[in-house]
Amino acid sequence: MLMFDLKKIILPIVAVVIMFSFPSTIFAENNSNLWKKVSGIWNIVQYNNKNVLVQSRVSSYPWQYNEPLNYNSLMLSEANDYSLIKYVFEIKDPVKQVDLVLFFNTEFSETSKYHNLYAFRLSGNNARFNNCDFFKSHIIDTGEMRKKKNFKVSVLSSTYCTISTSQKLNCQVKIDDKSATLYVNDIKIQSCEAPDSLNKGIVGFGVRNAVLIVHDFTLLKNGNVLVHDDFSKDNIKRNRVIMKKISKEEYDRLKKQKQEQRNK
Amino acid sequence: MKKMYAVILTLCVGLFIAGVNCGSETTEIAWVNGTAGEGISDIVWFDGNNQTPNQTWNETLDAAKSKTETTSKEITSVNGYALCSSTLSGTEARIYVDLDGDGIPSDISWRVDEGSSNRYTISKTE
Repeated sequence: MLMFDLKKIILPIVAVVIMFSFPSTIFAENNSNLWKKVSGIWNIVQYNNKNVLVQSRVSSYPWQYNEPLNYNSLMLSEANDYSLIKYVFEIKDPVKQVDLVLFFNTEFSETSKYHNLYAFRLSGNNARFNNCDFFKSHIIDTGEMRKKKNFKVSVLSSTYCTISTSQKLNCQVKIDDKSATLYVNDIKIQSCEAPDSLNKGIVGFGVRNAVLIVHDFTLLKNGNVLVHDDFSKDNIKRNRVIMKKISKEEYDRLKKQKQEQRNK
Repeated sequence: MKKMYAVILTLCVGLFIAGVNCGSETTEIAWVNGTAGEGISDIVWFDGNNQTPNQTWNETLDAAKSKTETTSKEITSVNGYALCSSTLSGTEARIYVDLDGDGIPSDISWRVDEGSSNRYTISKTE
């Protein structure tokens, strides 16, 4: 009888403790807007009998409003406080110079629409990455949010590397306050210091001149999983614009209406 | 005989002029800020076959600056699709067109009648 009562008391306590131990864990299954498409064509497709995320547009359009827009990029919708970012990528159909960019510390606010960020960029040809940059992007004039080229990219550190693009890439970015280290397939590629703390903000990735397959993504803080997505489901918010074709008569009528409104 | 030559020559000249006129018909597009076009910038019309940019409108629709429509520009690829950038969301957006007004936007690519002048009004951003 006493045992039965103890179970009744202990089980809810254990459940509550577990619930509050991981307050900010976001698992992809519960969040259809986990990711936000910045640019490119991102879809969940079946590959080797498993669902993966594929970015299928090889070329990118140089919009020049922020750095991620100049690649085919995807960002987490919300900012987090993290210490480790893990990605599993595969590069397909590379052409000319291929760039793979891992963004973090990205700011989305009234004064930065992805203008402010830090990133590692692996660059190379269609066979291998042979350079790794650590760069900072920041807004130039916060009063001109709609202006093109209103951001500056500064490479803070650059190093030679040799990473074949034909293999699966297990990338890890370790963040410790102002320092960031990139590992690819357990090999340390670059470790850098930034003038700012890097462990807060939006995390994302982008590619240029290749198809990108994303197998897995995990965001952690001190060993605790904050976000995990195996891309078995589509959790991407895609902005779209709906337009209607109008006839000449309708257009003239609307124009007249607007002119009348202005005259009033 | 001379008469026949004159008739043939007239016919040839007529056909040539008709051909030139047909060839000079331009297909144009303009984008109008309807109820939801604020912050739409740099609309790009892509060739639907080879995915390359065919025409660009480097303008921002902004009612406050009386910029409620883009200039009408010629496109040479009549089968294509459009992308734009949104300065409000900092992202690229795909443009879908509700061609028959039934509220359901068309598939990604659409066809524009050759030689026509087209205006599309932005009814929704989401």
